[in-house]
Amino acid sequence: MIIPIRRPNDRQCTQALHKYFIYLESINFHTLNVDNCSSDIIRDWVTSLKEGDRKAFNHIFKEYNQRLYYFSLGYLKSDKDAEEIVQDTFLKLWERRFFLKPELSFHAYLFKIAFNFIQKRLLKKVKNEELKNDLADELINFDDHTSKLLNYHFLLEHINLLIVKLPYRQKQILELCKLDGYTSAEISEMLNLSIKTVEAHLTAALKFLKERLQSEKFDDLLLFALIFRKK
Amino acid sequence: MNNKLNLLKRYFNNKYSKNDSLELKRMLEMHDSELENLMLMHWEEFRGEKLLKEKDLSVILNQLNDDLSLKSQVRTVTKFYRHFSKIAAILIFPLILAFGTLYFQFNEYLAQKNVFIEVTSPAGLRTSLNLPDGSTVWLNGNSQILYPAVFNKKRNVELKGEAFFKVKSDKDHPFFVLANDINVRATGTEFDVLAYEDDPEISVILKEGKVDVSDVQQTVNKKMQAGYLLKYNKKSLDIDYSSINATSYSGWIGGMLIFENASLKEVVTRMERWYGVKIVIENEELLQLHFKATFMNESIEEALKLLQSTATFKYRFTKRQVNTDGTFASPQIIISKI
Repeated sequence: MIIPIRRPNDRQCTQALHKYFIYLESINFHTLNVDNCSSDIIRDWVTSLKEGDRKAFNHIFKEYNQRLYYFSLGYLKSDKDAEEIVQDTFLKLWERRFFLKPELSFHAYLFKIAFNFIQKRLLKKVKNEELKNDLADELINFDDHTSKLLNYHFLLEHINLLIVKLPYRQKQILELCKLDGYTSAEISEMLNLSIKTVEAHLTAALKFLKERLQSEKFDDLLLFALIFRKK
Repeated sequence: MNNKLNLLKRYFNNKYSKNDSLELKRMLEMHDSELENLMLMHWEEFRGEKLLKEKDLSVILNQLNDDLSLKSQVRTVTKFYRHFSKIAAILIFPLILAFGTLYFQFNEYLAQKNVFIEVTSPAGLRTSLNLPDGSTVWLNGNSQILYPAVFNKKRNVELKGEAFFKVKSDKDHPFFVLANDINVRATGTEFDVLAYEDDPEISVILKEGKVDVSDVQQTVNKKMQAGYLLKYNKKSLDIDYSSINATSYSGWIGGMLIFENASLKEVVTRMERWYGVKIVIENEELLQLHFKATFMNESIEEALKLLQSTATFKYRFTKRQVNTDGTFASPQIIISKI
């Protein structure tokens, strides 16, 4: 989805909405093709797959790949990860085809395989984002109200966009410190700078991010995004 | 339950709060079936509520098909191996049996044909060899041993010259050494047999165990004990049986030439064999001399010089004579009175 995240003045809003509608028209939408095959047909395919029939494997792939891809994408929020889940799951399905039981729900069996892969990647993703969460905590004073607002995803993305706007050195040091978890002493050694310089860059970067987040009235931004998506 | 399902859906649709994110993290780290059950519910419900553009995943399908083709090839190879190994397993026993029988038959054939092996050790050299039964033989210079390629019931060897035997113990198959007219019978012992054709006597020195010594005419039949020397005179058929230091006689195995109160005559004959030379004694009086010495790695000149230090005699090397065929005769040393 295109989510224009900029300081929303009226002119920009109109422009963005306009672009978005053009985008909607340009792509060919349709509802996901699920359940267009009866459970009897699927059961026949599963029986053939159990005997090593590659044609049945291809049919099953075509039947389930879209659903599995978008399901994985929703959780992992990465196109590459979702594609790998599809590949890993179907490969595993082929390897474990001897254990298939046509009389049981294939739908649930496929999920069971996929879940193991999704869970591993999701845990990794959440661990990787811990530092990002800490950075968000540092920039915004969360209270009971703001913790419940459903804009967390956009907040993180917005912080990412703001980081891109930082001067090169500040951006580099901020990422090393806040996203990769190095101490300022380690960074000073890595970049051949004095510790004081590193800390000065860091302070400046954080100050910039804080000011921008406050001036942009984040709640408004969220509201804008929600309205925008409902259209 | 519904609350948490909604939380998942909020996360799924990118409309989640900070608290939602923390809760999801907690569920992931719990590693129990709660998350799996919730996600399964979501999966069952998931019909693509959103409008979606179809994602082209045909590349992945092609990739999968390629991978699976490769795997099935590997499977046929392993299938072939399994099949082959079955055949191999069936064949291996008859094959072993066939080769085993062949091997024994070949051995029997050798035994029946009386195939003999002859090993000769030239003058000045010592040879060690292993017999088919595992016994070890050290062959002194100028000696020869003849033994069958495969031993029958009796382990018979024929010896000319001197040899030290270390016989592998086997009471059912006695070990016989035939040296000229003397027969030495042993089962598992260490002994030395001295039977040079030009010597007037045959000597048997027993280092360990027991041996029976008998001659062809059965006039002599002596059970020897360890540490004794038996001398058999070929002409008079007399035997001389005395206690000796057996190690001084078997020292030659380790490259040592040991004399224990030996007469000059004995010293000369043994040195002749040891070094492969010819020694002539000019003066009869010198034969009275007796020597006690041990040589190891000494050259003949060094050895003679050392002998000179204990007795008064002098020696000289003659010029090597050229034979009619152009080769040189072995060197001669002449020992004389001063």
